[in-house]
Amino acid sequence: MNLFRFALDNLYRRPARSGLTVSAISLGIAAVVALTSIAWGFEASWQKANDARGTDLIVTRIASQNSMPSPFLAAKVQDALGRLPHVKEVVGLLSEMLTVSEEAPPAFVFGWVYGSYLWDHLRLIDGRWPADSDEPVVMVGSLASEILHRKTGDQVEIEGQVFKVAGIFESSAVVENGAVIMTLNRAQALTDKPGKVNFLNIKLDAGASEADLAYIKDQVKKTMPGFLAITSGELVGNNAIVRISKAMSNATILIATLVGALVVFNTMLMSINERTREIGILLALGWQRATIIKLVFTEAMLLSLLGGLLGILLGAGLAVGLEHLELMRGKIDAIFSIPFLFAVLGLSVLLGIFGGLYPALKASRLLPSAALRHE
Amino acid sequence: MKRLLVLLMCFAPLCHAAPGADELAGLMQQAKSTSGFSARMNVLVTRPDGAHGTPFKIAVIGRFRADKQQLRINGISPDSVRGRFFAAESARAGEIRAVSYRTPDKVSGVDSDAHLFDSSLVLWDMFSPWWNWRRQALLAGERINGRECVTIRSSTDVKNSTVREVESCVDVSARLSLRTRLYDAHHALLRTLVVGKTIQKADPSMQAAKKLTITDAEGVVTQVEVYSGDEQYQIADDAFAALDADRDQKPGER
Repeated sequence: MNLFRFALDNLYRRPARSGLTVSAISLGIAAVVALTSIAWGFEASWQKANDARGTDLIVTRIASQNSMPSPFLAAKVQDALGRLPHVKEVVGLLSEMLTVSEEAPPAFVFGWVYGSYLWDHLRLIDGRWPADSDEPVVMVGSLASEILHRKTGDQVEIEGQVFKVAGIFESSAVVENGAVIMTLNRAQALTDKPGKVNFLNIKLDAGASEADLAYIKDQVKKTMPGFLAITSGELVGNNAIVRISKAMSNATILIATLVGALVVFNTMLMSINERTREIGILLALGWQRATIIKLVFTEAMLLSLLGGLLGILLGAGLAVGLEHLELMRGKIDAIFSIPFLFAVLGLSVLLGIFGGLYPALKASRLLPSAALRHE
Repeated sequence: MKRLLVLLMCFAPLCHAAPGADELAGLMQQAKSTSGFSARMNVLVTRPDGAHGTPFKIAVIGRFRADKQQLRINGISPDSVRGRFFAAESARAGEIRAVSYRTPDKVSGVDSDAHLFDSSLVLWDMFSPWWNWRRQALLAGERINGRECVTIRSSTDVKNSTVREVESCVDVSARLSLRTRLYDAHHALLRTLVVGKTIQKADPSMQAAKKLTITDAEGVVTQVEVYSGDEQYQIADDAFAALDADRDQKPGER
């Protein structure tokens, strides 16, 4: 019988304890996987939306802790931005989280400048685009269409005003697929924010370099007090929700590591105590102390590895389930990267190492004569 | 003894830094000051028997200057509240004049103590006129929802005021009352307003209520949640035209 088989048999002999240890580890790992994939997905989805639009820089008010920068008068800075070198287009965007249907959770409602480049990346699935900047119609994302049960020609009531659904679109970003889009003029009138936007999107010409980008950022900082020019990645990184979800996922990793290590530690220590005589016999039979250490480590690793594998499956299932939850649909897009999943598996192995270290050393230091006397 | 003196000297600046009652009332008064704001809110009313009313949305715009304070509230949805407007103003003297209307040319006067949209929302409370009252007294500090606050009692003898005494537990650093209790002349509790969630204002040192629960004497609970807002709202010239129309109307025409 080899060492691996011996360790496996030891775990089989105590199915309840082994099962509980694996469950505890898998729950911790599942929380890590689910929260981290959602945090990354949320960040990536917003970045994808900004990248898909072709926006090179976003100008906004210096961020507060609020999730959405407070609206400002576009005219205040739009002309000055348009005069900066390599700036091809400066277009406003207004965004609000609003109730679009009483049966569905609030959805993102975007107001985009009619005819601007922001619309270019959307693919029309059904219907038509708004005919002009003041037409009282909305475009509904493919996912929002499902959630809101609205199709082309239907009506939606937003903030007490009725809009006709002109068409259904699809975007590469899940955030936009779950949203409702109207022209900026309509959005401003709807939310009583005439002339206001949350963001000004800047598209640069093909000749713009990284240095030009840095120059524009610098100019905004110097000449437009209270405003900030950032890339979509920086904007998303500054978003309070992204920061909170990342902090939560980091905290979960820390807690899961501590709890997991303690669970393995406790299980292995109890197992060693119960098997003192058995270890004494093995030592008396000529087993090396290093072999005893290897045996305890193998058991600890098997527990944590199995817990890790189950946790990954459970976490992935949890994240996918949350994605399809009515309340979250169109708002999260969990991302599972292979390196991350391997890192999680590595984390579970670390749990085994940390948790098994002391019990393994304790077992190896037993004196055969003392161990055999143990009751 | 020497150590005690040193300790007292160390804490002296802190004691000095804590504002007195009048100073705190003044700070709260200043915190209200705005040339224009707008906020949209979801409102849910729960009756004492636990029955929920139909949730509704309202929009509030206002400006609070030293000489005049004005507010306008209108229903957004559903149909039962849509198009119903309330406008009110308070001048330096502290008296609040309020009107209701559907179109600004047909206004009717309303009591500023009246409950809006069958909820516990009261126009008078929204002006928080008690910060102007002459009698302000500091009471003990408290913790509300895990946040430290200082209780300040504001009282008045003005006969036509339904509310005669107000106890506000103020988070001094955020310039926000976390809990406000309003009492009548017989010290009977009229309403309690408790802030559940806050949002940072553009001035990062100040906060505003995002979620608020109002419980009135009959046990009606009104939950208010702000879902959209603008701290630099530009008030249109005709936003408070209804108040002017009411002022121009002869008493018999009202």
